Amino acid sequence: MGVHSFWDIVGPTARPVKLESLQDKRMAVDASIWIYQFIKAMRDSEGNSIKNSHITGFFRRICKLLYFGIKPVFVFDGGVPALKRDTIKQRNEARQGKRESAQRTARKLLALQMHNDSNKNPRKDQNSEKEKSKTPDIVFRPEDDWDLPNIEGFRVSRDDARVNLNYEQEKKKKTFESSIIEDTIDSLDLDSIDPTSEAFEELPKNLQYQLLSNLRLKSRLRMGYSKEQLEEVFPDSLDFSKFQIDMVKKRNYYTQRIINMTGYHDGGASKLNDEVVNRISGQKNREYKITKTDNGWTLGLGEHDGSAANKAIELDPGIKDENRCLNNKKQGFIGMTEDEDQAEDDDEDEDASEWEDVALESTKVKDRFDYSLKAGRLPELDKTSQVVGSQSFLDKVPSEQSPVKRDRQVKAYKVAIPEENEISSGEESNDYERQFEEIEMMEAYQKSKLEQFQRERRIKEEKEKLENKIEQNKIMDETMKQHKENIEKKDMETMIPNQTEGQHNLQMILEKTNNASTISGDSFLFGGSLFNNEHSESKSLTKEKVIPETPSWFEQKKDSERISEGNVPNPFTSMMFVKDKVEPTKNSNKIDGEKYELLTGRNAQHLLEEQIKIRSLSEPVKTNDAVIAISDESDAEPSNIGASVKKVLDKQNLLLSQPDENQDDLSTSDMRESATENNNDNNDNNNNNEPTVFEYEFSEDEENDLVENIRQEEKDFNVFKNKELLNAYQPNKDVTNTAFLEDELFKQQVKDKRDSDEVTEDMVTDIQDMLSQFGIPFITAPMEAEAQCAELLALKLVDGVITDDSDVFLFGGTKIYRNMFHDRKYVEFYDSLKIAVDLGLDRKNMIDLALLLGSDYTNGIKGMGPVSSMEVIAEFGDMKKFKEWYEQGQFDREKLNNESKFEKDLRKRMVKNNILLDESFPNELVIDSYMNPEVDHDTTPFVWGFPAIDMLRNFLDDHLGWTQEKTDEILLPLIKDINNKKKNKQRAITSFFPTEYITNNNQAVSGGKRILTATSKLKKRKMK
Amino acid sequence: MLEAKFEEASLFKRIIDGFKDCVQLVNFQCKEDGIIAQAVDDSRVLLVSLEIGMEAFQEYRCDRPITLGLDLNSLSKILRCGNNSDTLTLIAEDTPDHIGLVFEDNKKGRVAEYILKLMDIDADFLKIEELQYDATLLLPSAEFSKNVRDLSQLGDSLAIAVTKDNIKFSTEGDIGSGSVLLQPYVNMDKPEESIKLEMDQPVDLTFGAKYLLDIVKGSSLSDKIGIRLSGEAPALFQFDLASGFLQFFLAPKFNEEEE
Repeated sequence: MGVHSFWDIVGPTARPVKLESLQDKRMAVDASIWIYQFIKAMRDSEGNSIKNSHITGFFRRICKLLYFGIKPVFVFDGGVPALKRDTIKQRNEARQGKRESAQRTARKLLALQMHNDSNKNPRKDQNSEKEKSKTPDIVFRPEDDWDLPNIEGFRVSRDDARVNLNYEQEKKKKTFESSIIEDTIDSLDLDSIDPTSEAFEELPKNLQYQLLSNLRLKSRLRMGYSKEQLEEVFPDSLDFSKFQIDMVKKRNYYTQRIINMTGYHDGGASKLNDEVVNRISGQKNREYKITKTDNGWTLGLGEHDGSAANKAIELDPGIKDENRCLNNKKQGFIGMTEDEDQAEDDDEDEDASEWEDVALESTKVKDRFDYSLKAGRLPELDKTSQVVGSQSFLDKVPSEQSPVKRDRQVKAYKVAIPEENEISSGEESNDYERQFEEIEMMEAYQKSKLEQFQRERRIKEEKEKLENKIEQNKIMDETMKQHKENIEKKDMETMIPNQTEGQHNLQMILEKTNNASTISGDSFLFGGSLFNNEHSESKSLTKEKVIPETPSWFEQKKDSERISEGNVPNPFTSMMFVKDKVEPTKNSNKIDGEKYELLTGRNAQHLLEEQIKIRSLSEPVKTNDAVIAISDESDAEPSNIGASVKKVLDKQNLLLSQPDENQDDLSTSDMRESATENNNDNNDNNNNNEPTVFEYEFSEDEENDLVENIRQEEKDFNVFKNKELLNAYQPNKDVTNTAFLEDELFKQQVKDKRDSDEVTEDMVTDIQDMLSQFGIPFITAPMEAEAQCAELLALKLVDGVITDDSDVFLFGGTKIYRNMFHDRKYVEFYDSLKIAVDLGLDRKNMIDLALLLGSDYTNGIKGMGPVSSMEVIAEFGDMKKFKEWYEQGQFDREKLNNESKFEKDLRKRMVKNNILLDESFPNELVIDSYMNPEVDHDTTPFVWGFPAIDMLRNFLDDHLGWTQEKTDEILLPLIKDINNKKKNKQRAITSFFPTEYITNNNQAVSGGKRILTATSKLKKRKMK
Repeated sequence: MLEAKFEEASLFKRIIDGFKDCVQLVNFQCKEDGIIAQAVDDSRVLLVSLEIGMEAFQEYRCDRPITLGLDLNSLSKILRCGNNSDTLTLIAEDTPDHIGLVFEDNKKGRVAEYILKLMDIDADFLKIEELQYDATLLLPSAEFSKNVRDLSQLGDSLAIAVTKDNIKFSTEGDIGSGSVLLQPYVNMDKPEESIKLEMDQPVDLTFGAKYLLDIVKGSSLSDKIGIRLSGEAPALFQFDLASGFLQFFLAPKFNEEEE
């Protein structure tokens, strides 16, 4: 822009001018530089250009100009002078270089990612190792160089908090960096990508998707060419048509690919799951939604859409409140039961249709019958507890989609029945137990709610398997939203239980990682209550537990042990049945139920720990606490085993809430919010990890596909990392060395991206449209806008020039306003008169400066800085003399010796800095271009109109999506102000008296000593 | 070398207070025959021109022209330090970077000395040409400032209309309107209360009230304010000193739509 370092030289002559004093001044605005500035400067946090940023930018500036009563004339660049074209060419080349460097950065990032992958892989292998332990006949085969073999020792170190912590960090880094990869896509040269290639297939799905959609988008454009350019490329319109047909073909191909990838081919059905599609109305803590269910649309209260018992539309959410339940248990339970019954009816219909085509229907019907029979016999309290059971049973029903699963569900239900029976018998013993049971039921109810979450998630998982990753993300967001809403519904008191739920959710998900543990998940509820009951009844507690577990798991194990012992035949058989079911698919060699259960327990325990750590990923502070919490629990358990389960659960709650307490004070009201957020974060992470985990189950269907699936999973994981990152990444999170490096690379990318954007003709047209709607005159200069601005000033068509381009001085501009939009009140004012007085620089000298320093027209002399340039100009006055002197020095040794100290120093410096004057210096062409630029000499005065508010409203709506209110908010006061000023315009005193600018002679121009010497020399030269 | 002694420090204080609110940085040009200063306010609507003739001083000596760039806010801080009855001497060297202010109480023999750093002030200098005015008014400054203060409460512009027989100050604002009509009046006993009116042709000018409010702050300098109005020129408001004057040139507002 302009002469290099020129502003530094003339800087000291700048004078702050109050914007008010510019009222009524006609200003030529060099607008070409503006668009460039906006494209460069207005960026989002990731460095991507904001759409139509130039319009927003122009709009703001126009408003500012009009507000101060300035009459602007916008001048746009026209053609490009031959001289400048060369320089632009060089600039473009530099830009190309930048683009390449963007590619290089991307490559660097990729390398970094791969490096991290290799670091991370051992961890991955753990998972595959787990697979292996279950499926020992599958030999690990490395997929690529980065896939490392198993390391046996890792299982041991898994409990090591440090190792896991590192893993978290690694993982975070990795997620961070893979998101960068995503960003990189933008800067990649899309043309170089061949989507048909195998290499492309290898890319992660989401990357593929993005690339494809980018390509598709690109194929729609005119390849970034303007009409004129296209006309040049395709002189024959037939060629162009062919080209367009080609592009259409291409686009079609991309679309097909994307459709295949996203799974849209299923008619978009997968996209419309029973998730919230529209939020239609809201109310604090509650929302009404239209939801798509299996057989139509339902209007519901949040996720309580009445589609299932536990989703009953509760008009009085207070019923949910445990405390209230506790206090008015009867009332509460009745309410629950009522809801239940009602919902049950609904469900039966739904169930019927759902179950119609299932062979196992008879079993189910029998179960139901059983259930109702028992329900009838049970005393009231028991009934409620059973209701809880049925609730969870019903919960399952809509979610079941595969017969196997459904089957399992039934079994789980079967397990529940006898347990409930036992509960009833235990319940009779004494009041204490009754009370205890109530508490338990409360918990069970809570858990059933939690299962609701799980259920939703499971449904989603099913869909997600089919769907494209991006859509997954969308759904997860929805789930998140739902979670959030749910959580918000609860008050302070239920907060902690919620967190427990969060943990339970985690466990649920974990359960799903192993098919086997699904049973545990299903019967988990009853197992819990059963255990508790048993515990209070007989106190015969199992101190023989070796593996530390969380309470729920503990309970589960206890339960399963009991089952395996054959104490309860019914559950046992069902257990076995499910096990049998699972076995063939899992291809695991489990012989008896107990061993199997134990394995499940252990795996789950490990996974739980992992999961909790993953959960804490978004809050590194929490990590330690979370780990401690788990270990605390583990430690505490044996000692607490004699205590009531409630206590343990409480402790669990407490421990879980600790991390939150660390972050925020529990007592503050903010805490709730933050805790909710934390919860959400947790859930997010759950969601993110979930499908990945789910892949396991999927992959286990076919052992032959296992390896393939692991690879798939790895891919998916990469995808989810990115998503996690979106939730978890905050810029001020701890920065490790690698992260720092990546940060640097990221910055570089942002910078490169910024530099590789260009001003298009459409942008200029947009702006000109807006200007005419504002009633502001604009002209397109024949060549350079700055030159035209200077000319307008010379023709006295304007009173000043607003530009940041120092070339304007060289074109003869005198009254230059710079940084017009930096400050609210003042603007930097440069007057060539003052520059001449203060620095002794006239127009000729300025052009000489350009020759030395370089500008749009010349590259200048390499090695010349502003100070030495000023010295040269002061010493020689003319570049021809400088050249003469330079050449003399090369041949005339004798003269060399007689030179002044300055000349000797200068020569020394020039040699030192490799300063060479080439043949053409000083280029007369450059001088001429500045002295006689091609400009429009039309002297027709400009006319300013009035803003057309209706048109502006439309325009801003079209281009920026602004509502009329938003536009009016800005424009109406402005227009009112303009009107007022028109009526009673204050004249400036300076318009009546001839103004003479006086400077203090004793004023020292600030700057270096050499500059001062040079300027005083120059000034003296001028005096002569 | 500049040595300028005011018999009363309060005079200089009143001069400075008279225009320190509309301009902040002012170059005082000290010449052999007195001190002149000129400044334009930030919005370039009001021009202040000060002339203190050497007769206004008890002692005045200026060997060669000196420009003193003064920040009026700082200057008035120092001027507040002196007592009104003190003598004030301004002292500056030929190429000064500071100015010395000495307050002397001759009765008590108290001497207070202050140094104020000078500033380099770049400013436009307007060549004030002698203008042809259509109407010349001379009225008590108290009267004028009351009118301005009263009417400026209602609106932000104030119209001064002069006809053959009277002077009319009027304003219109959002809350209402108001006007004050004055007629020429001669008070032989108290000549300072007389209102004089001379006119060639009627004038009707509108001014920004906030500028007029700045101008009336000079009222403490003189009992009388001279106002010169012209249809197509800035109005001149002048307070006379014993020797010299404080002038305000105010650019009028005009209705663009009428033109």
